[in-house]
Amino acid sequence: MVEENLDILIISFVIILLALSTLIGVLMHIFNRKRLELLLKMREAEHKNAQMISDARRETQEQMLKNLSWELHDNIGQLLSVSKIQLSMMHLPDEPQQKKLLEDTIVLLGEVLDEVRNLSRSLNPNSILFVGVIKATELEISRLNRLKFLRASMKVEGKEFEIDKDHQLIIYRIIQEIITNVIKHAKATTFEIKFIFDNEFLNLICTDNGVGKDVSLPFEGLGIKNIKERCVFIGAEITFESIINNGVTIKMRYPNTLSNQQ
Amino acid sequence: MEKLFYAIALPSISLIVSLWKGDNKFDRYFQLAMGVFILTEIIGIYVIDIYGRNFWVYNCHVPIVFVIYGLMYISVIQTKSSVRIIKFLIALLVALAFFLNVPATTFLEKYNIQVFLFGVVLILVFIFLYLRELLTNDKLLEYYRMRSFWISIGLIIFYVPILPVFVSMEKRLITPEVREIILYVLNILMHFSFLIAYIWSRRI
Repeated sequence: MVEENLDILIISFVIILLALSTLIGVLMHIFNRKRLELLLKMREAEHKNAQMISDARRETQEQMLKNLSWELHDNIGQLLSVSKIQLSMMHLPDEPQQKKLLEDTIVLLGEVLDEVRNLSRSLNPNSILFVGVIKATELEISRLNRLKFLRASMKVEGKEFEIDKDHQLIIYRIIQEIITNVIKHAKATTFEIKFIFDNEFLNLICTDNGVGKDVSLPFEGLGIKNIKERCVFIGAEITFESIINNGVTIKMRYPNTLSNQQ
Repeated sequence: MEKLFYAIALPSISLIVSLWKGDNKFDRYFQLAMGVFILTEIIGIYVIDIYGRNFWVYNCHVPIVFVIYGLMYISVIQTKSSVRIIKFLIALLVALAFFLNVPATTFLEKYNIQVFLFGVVLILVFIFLYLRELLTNDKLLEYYRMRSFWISIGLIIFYVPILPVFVSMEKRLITPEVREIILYVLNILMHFSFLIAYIWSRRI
């Protein structure tokens, strides 16, 4: 009788433990799977939100630049034109010194008007889209040299491929942001941009001879954040290299998306 | 001796740990349930010593403890339809307990196992409704830190096997001694899960 009881006990225990383990195991498995699905959904939603915010910020920036471009061209540009015309219509004084002063002022005003027009064009996204990123960068480089901010140079190597127009605008904005950072923070005297085209990628390399940065510290700041967000948007990779007192090199690798689509 | 351990000592430990860490409605109902377990056993032991029979103690205990479990789950379930289902089932249990226990012969002379078995099915329904809601909730991210989850696991560990054990005993497939040993082990596992609930959990 006791042995019978023991047998029944052992069998019962085995059955119960097996059933319980299976039940609890299945339950935990279901819960873990659902938890992972929820985590994935939340991450996707976060990513979408961040993308939306980034898109909105970018659109706002472009609109602001457009508005600034119009203001410069339609308002300030017009005022300067009128001022130049009015000065030109004045009788030149007899006194040679005063005559030279007036002539110089008219020439200076003409230069200011040209700069304002150039600035207006560089801010206006439509004009960039019209001339393309290479030409727009050339104009920006010549403006830097003319204004003596930096000794800037540009090189284009390899066979150029077609880049999506919206992406060209974004690449140009990235270059503008890099130049702004160099002027504001780098204390550099030279700046070089290289466009290197191969079949699959456009490699953009920007180098300056400024104070450099400690690469162990993260490259942060609103300008860098804008650059990184724009790179993510166009599917480009960006890296920052630097040695203290030996400048910064920024390398952007943009994939040839239009030929990949074909 | 074993009965004293699993029927009084284990619920006492769970109650003390719950009083130490528990701070919401769910915990209060859980503490009430543990308190009812302990009180039932103490009264049961006292009554059997004096009168020789204590069936009425357990006939009262069963509907009370399952109603407390129902209220415990109502406090954590947010879906209105699930709460309505639980309330309806509690009412059904109370009605069944009343009609089965009212005749004095059944109330005093024997243990009404039908009420207990119905209560077991009910608690499993309550747990199912709760876990189903948890699966569609953001709290799923940290389900393993939730007290109510581990208490539900503990209740599953105890009540899922108990149904076939009691039925087997009724059909005389197992002896009361075998039943006691199984109850002993299941109680240890259940209260271990309750301890995990209170020691490892955090406020979600």
